[in-house]
Amino acid sequence: MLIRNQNWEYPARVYTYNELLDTNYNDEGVNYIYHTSQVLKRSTEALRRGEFTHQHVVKHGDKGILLDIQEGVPSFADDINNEMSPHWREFAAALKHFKPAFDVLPDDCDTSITFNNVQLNQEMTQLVEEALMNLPFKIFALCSSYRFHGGMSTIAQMMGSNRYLQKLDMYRIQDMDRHDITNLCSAIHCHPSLVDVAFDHCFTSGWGGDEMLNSLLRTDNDLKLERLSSPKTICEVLILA
Amino acid sequence: MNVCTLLSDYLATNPRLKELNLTDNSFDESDAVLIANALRSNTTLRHLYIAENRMGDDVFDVWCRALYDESSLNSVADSNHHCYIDTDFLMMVHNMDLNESEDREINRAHKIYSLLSSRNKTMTNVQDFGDVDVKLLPNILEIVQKYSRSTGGDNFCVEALSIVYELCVDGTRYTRR
Repeated sequence: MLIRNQNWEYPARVYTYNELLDTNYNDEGVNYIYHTSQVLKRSTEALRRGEFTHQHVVKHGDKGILLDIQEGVPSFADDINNEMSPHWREFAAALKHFKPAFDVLPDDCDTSITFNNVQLNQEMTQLVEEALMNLPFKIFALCSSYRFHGGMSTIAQMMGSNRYLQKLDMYRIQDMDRHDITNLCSAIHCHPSLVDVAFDHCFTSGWGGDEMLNSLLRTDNDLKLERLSSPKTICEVLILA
Repeated sequence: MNVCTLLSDYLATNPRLKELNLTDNSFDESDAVLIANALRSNTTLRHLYIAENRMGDDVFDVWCRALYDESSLNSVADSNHHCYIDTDFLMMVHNMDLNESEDREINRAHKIYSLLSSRNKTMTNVQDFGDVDVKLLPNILEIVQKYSRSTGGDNFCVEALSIVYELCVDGTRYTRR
């Protein structure tokens, strides 16, 4: 729900940089916690005000929610991700009640959710997934979010719950196994309105790109896609059984 | 099955796909042949991005044959007039950017007129019309006039009157049925 109580304040504690230096985390961890908590606080406050954080990017009038977490950081262990949990909980709660902001937009408005470099533990993934399921956005972009617990099953479930989704844009999602690929392709095939799919730099070694194209194209179902982008996908053209 | 065979089989069925981006992959010349053959029967794909693959200079001819097979007027007419291919090469023939227009009829007309112009320069057009019923000559002349308008001032193409003259000057080649 959007803010009714104008005195609402972001409840999760945002540590100062100096406070974090006194903890046992290394420099990368300190930087990550500091910057990510700031991003999540700003984004949550915007959502609570009913504001989209990402507007007029591709064309005038488009509206989106962007979580742009620090780029180039390593995959952190659970202690750091657990440290971020109060912030993710606030973000997910604000996201979950953001649907009224979508409902007042014109039908032709391009609405998007973009997660860049997101790392989540299992519990937080579930919260964010549940929040996403309530929102009728048309574009979902996931970039370098290699610690998105539940992986493609989470994405596939989110896709299944959003009949408005038209575009799935994935960039540098490199941990997909065969099960992920099967799940994702099945969700793409079953989706009623998805017409645009991009796998950009998702398969930099081995069989993944071939497997993805095979799963997408080798089917009796009528694939509804109008745009398929898979640059940097086929590393070796393999003969598949 | 090779993934490219699967892809070309898919394209040949005229799916809804309008844009396919395969940039920076490992497709080679043999894959290009498969995809190019599929494009001959595909009328839906508008953009194919396939630069930065493992294809040498010879692949330019492969793409050209799919989009502008100038071995005969029929083969030009039957080429793909809808797909714009983004490759490592500039896909231009006779100063013509192949399938530049969104309108496939304009692309088709431009290609046919380019071939007529090319042959006009060596006066070889009339050989192609040797077995054409003379009653069709007015239609042919009308099409020459019409297609000349598709070139948009293309410097390569000759005046329509040159082709009309060439087709009329040797009337003995036409048959009466």
